[in-house]
Amino acid sequence: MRVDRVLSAFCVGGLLSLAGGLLQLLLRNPLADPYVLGVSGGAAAGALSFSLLFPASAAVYSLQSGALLGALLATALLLILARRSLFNEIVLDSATTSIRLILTGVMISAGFGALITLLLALSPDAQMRGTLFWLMGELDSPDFVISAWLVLLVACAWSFTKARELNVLSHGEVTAHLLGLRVRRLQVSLLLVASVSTAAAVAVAGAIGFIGLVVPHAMRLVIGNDQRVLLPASALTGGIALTLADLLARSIAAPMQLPVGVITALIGVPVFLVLLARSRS
Amino acid sequence: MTLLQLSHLDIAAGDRLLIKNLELKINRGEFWCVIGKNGAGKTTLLQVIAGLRSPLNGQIQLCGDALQSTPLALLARRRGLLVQQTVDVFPHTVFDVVAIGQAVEWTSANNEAPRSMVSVSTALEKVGMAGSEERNVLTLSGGERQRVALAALLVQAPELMLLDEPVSHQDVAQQLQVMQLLRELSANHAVISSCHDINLAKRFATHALVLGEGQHWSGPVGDILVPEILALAFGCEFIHQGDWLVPFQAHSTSDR
Repeated sequence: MRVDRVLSAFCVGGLLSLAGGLLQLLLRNPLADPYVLGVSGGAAAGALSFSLLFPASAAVYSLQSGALLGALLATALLLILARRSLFNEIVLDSATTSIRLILTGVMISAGFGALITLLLALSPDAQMRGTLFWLMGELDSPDFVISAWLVLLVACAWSFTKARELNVLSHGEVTAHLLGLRVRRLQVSLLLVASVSTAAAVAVAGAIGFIGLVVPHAMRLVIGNDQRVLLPASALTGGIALTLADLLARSIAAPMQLPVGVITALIGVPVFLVLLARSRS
Repeated sequence: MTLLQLSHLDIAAGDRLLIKNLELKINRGEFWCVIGKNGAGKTTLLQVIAGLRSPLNGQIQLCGDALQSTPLALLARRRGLLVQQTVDVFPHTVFDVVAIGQAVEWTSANNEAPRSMVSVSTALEKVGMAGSEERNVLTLSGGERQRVALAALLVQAPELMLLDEPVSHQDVAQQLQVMQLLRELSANHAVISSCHDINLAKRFATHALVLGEGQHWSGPVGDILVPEILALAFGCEFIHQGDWLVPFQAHSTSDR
């Protein structure tokens, strides 16, 4: 097993799980994932545009740059469109912020979805197939891995120093505000940390699904709600989970290599359904 | 010193003026009940006093400082609010939910005097939920959840305790327990609570603020909770039956 491959799988899994855990807290929705606010749609549209615009530089590098830019663009759009909720100091109802953010994210995804279809209609088939496969999750390229590790370290450090405040926020923004927290500032920082983490993960490996949804949710069931433990544990477990999934992706049909996103989805879907069924009982 | 002073307060929700020119002084040792019909502005008033929304006009002084210019962290020690409905999404333990009140100890500046802390178990005992620390809040009934939220307010221990219908989900026995507890709390704190039960208010509160039809009446319960005022506020007649005030007929014309 190649070390650099493990390093990128671990980093991407950690970033996605941490981002998922943070967004579940922000949106007060235990089943939110890192892509719920439109970051993956932006990444896909960015990667497709770049592969269409710069076909000569065929390297995966242009896909990754495109994905990174698209993801950051989606985040910027979200901040602009949801500014009324995010920068309004009046805190009255916890549900409003999260519903507005989710709806804005859904609309951003829908907009990028239309753009993706347009790009697909315009472009040669063979090339697009490669891009779409890459978006399903590829851990082949070493580009951006070092930057992604830096993002992971900063995001973990931020989460750890803010964990106590995040614990209060998990009881709702009205409660947090009444107890003296500067809620909006905390929420906007959280959103930035989660979005940049997701963008970094997508730039390394495409939009790998389910890790960021299932891992933090499962960890919450196992070790409880204390963010001081939950967030680092999610990052660690996510890293391990994606490393194992990548190992499976390369060995299951060797010498053929499956996109790792297929494996995470194949395992993630049933695990998620079991968790969902359990949470109702 | 007056703990809470409201001057020339106008309060609106949307474009509807709910309360006009409210003047009120509230001190430690007082237990105020806010009474009025649906939509009269009870919740909005509590939110304004808690600093969650701004009044249309007027000043609010809490502990001698203007409410708007008091830092949030200091405010957390001076006022707390029990909201009408708590929506939980994560499976927190009861202990976690109650202990959250201790956050005021680290969100506020270090130069604040340390206070004697109410422990989580003591707070739970006071609201009749002793030994529930490990229960999952998602499994509690509405009444139990409301009392757990009350326990969190006891741990926060702000000087001014605001409560939005704290007995709305309680059975009759618990209504008495909660009102008795608020009465005891008002020895060391000021308590303002909205309440729909006029007789409970009359029995336990020291003062009442009645809101209705753009008017308001405030003062000691004995002066305020009388049939004449209540009839104006609610648009229905009240009669005395022994110590009880009983509503008996709605005016068909003044119904909105």
